[in-house]
Parts: sequence; C-alpha cells; structure tokens
Amino acid sequence: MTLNSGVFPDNHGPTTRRSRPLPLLIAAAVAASAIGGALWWKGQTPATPEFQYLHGQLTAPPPATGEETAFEITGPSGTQRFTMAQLRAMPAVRYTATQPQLKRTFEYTGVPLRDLADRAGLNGQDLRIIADDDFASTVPKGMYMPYPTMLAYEEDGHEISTAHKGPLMVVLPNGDHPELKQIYAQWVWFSRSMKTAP
Amino acid sequence: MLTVLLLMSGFTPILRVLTDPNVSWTGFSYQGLINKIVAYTLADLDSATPPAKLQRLGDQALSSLENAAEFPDLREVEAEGDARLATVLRLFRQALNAADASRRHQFLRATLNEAAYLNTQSHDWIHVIQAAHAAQLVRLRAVLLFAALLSGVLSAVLILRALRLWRQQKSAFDGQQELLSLASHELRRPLQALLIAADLLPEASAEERLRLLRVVEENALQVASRADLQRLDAMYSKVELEWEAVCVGALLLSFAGPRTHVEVPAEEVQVSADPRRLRQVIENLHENALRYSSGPVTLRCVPGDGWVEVQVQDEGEGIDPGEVERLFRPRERGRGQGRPGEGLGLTVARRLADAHGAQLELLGAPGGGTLAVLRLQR
Repeated sequence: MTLNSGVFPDNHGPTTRRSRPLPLLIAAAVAASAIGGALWWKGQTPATPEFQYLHGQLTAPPPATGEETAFEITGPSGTQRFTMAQLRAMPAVRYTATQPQLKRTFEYTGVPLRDLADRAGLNGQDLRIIADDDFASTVPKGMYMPYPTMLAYEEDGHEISTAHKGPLMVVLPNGDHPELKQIYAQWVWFSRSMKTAP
Repeated sequence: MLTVLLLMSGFTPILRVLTDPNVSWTGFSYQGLINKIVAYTLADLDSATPPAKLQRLGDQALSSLENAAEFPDLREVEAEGDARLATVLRLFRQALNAADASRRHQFLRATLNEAAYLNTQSHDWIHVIQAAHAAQLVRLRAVLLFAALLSGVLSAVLILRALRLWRQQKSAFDGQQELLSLASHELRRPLQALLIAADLLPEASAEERLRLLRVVEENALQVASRADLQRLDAMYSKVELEWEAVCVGALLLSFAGPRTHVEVPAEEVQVSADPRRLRQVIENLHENALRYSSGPVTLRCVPGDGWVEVQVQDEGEGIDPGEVERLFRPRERGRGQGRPGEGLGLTVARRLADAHGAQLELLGAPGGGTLAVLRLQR
C-alpha cells in the first residue's frame, strides 16, 4: 500500500474543485436578492408620467348664486371649494374602467387626483377622500401619482347617477393597469371632500 | 432546497387566502348599508332636512340595496340566518312609499332591524372565514415545525457523516503510522549489526572476517526483507509467511553471546515456519531479556509431543502477571521504563507468533526474572 493511495487523498487534487457550486449558488442568491431589492425600491418611488388629456383648462362660468359646492379640498393654504361646473372646466382625462362594486365597465371622465392635489398643495402626499355617507378612504401617493386616477363626474357621456355611486366618484384605471384590479376600497363613491391623510 | 420547497408549499395557500380581497373581507358593505338607512331615518325625523338631501340619502341607500354585487359572499351570509337583502330592499321601498309618517317610521324600523340581522349574519360568516384561516395557520405551523425538524435531522446526519469519515481517515492514518513504527523498529537491529560488523572488519583476523562476512550477509538479507515499505501490511498486519523447515537449535545457537547462554537438545529439532519471521520473534524476546535485566539470559529449545517450545529466560525484576496482556499492546512498556525502547518489540513478536499459529506467553521464571515461552506446532 502506498502512502498516497486512497487512504490519504491528495487534498490539492480536483476533489476540492468539485465543491465550488455551493459558494456559486450563494453568490447567485445574493446577487438575485440585490437586484430584486433594487427593483422593489424603484417600485416604491412613484414616477409622474404625462397623462393623455381630453382637454386643457376651459373657462368656467362664475358660480351662480346658491350653486351647490360639489367638492372641497383642504390643504395647507386653506379650503378650496369647487362647483360641478368648475370641475368640468379643469383639464380632464377619460378612460374605460370596471367599477368593482357594480361589476360593470364604463367610460369615465374626470379630473386627475394629481391635478387636484397639486392645486391644494397636497401633491405627493397620501390623500384622504371622504364621501357623503361619511365613508373615508386613503389613496396613497403610489396610487395617484403614476396613474391617472381621477375624480369622475361622467360615465359613458352622462352624469353619474346616485344609483351608480355618483355624482362624484374616485375611479382607478384598472382597465389599462391590471395591477390595480385588486384594489376596491379606494373607489370612493359619493365623494365630497379631500385632505391630507392622517 | 428541500426546506425551501416545504416552506413555499406551506406558505402558498395561506398567503393566497390572506391576500385575496374576495376572501379576507371585513363585511364593511353590510355595516355601510345600516349607516345609509340610519342616515336616511335621522334626516327623515329632522323636519329641517331639505327635501333634496332626503331624496339624495334615499337614493344612496337604494344604490346599495339594488346592487347585490356590492355585497361579497351574499349567498353564504344569507345562509347564516333568516335575514335577506331583498327583504331589506322591500321594506325600505315600502317606507319610501308609505302614506303617512307613522307608517313610514314603522317600515323604517323594520328595515333597520332586517339590515341589522343581515349584518349579524355577515359577522357569523366572518367567523367561519376566520376559522378557515386559523386552520390554515395551524397547517402552516405544522409545516414549519416539520421543516425545522427536517433541516435539523439533515444537518445532524451530515455532521455525523463528516465525523465518521474523519474517524475512518484517522484510524487508517494511525494504522499506517503504527506499521511504519513497527517496520523502523525491526530495521534497527540488523542495521546496527551491519554497522558493528563493518567497523570490526578492517582489523579482524582472516577467520574472524569470514564470520563477520556471514553476519553481514545474514543481516543484509534481513534488512532487505524488512525494508520493503510497499508490503508493510503483509509484514506486520495481515502477515504473509513463507513456510520452510527450520532447525530451531541452529537458529537459537546463532544468538549465543557473552550474556546469552543457549541450551538445545542433542538431536535436531525442526519446525515448519518462516525462518526470517521466526528469527524476528526470538530477536525481540532476546533483546527484551537483555535490556530489562543485567544478568545472564538463557535461550532454550524444549521439544514436546507435537510442539516445540522456545524459552527465553532472564534474571531481571520479573513482571506483574496482571500486566502481561497490556505489554503486548503497541507503545505499552513495563517497569524500567527509563531504558531506551519504543515498546514495540512484544507487539511484533505476538503478531508474528500469531501468524505462525504459535502461542507466546510471558511468565514469572522460577527463582525470579521473566520467562518468555513461544510454543510452536511441529
């Protein structure tokens, strides 16, 4: 029996090379989680893409005496009140979305929440939207900064009836963005006012 | 990998259940319905309410009552009791169409009662869902425990395997070391003899030179046969012998010296043995006797019936009978440890004797000292 046969395997031989897959696997896992983490972080910071507007700012008729306030926004500079006519004069977006509670699809028209928040100095903050029936929901910035989420006043070309949760309702573009399909609570019906989220 | 798979398979169902908004609902729509009817009733009771507002609140309540799609799991919720959404709607319509205030209030009360029952049933249904979630969590806990157990067992198995491999390697290494020690121990003696003979040769007389040359020749042969490091196993572990007829008397006489007295019978005594290995046995016994005593040493050949005994007797301190077996183990030495030696001689002797099928024993000699007895079969 020679000293180097079997019983004393040469430690510098190819046997040790074969155990390399483990460190490689660990390195790959670390790299993958780093890339995944970076992507996740990128997903956390909302981008602000240009929206496709139906029309720009129109001239709104001055509020008539006794004309009801349709929507209120409370920001750092105080409370702004909008009549339905004023809302309709603001730059508008229009797209098709499926109302999750009615389970029906309509073409909605309305003002992007981003523009409304901009007017009140609330841009980039999470928004609290309160309904006429005292329901309230928080729309996080990630849900209205990158998406044309709107305060809708029109459905298939006419006013939104109370039976269809009007006259003002928050609408999310779940037709063009499937990732919004699972979001229900932010569709605030009978919307009446908006402020920064608590 | 197995643990990851297990955990994934354990987490997936509960994750799917908890992230599905259709399943993990709060029952808010049922509560919200009551709110809308209460809001309408309060406005109705307040005579100062503008008719337009009352109309709006009524429409808002109807917008929910007429839209069954708004109420998740309505079928399951209605199965929890007698209250029905359709009944709430019917009663509310009757209230809106009532002829007078008293009838209207009666129907509104009935509407509120029915809506409250429906809300209670929705809570019962929530409990059913919660129980399902709890069952999922219990399953998840079982999976987690199993995964933890599995990884524990797997790592224990791996550790034990590594330990076993290490032990195997170590024992193989130790075995090799021992064989090397035995070999070097056994090479020492013939090498010493060669050196001494070479020293003496230049100044020896012609007759002595012949004797010394025989010594040189014999020890050179011994060195050659013991230096084969490739065959350590065959020499000291699984001993392989080359059998021949050996004349015991002649073998013993070659050990005769100043302190060594040899007693052999007159007739020739032969045994079947490997002459070189048999010589090694006797060399080791003889060397021990010389080393551990200062008096004369006697080598004796005692033939018997079917056996021959080779006895090596000294007049030293003797040995403790309880210690005999220990002395045959490698590196174990008896009294007088101050003297040079590695404690390997008796080990070699015993192994080679065993290979011959011979018995080797250490006894107390009559009159003190040690008597080593090697009994060979004829």
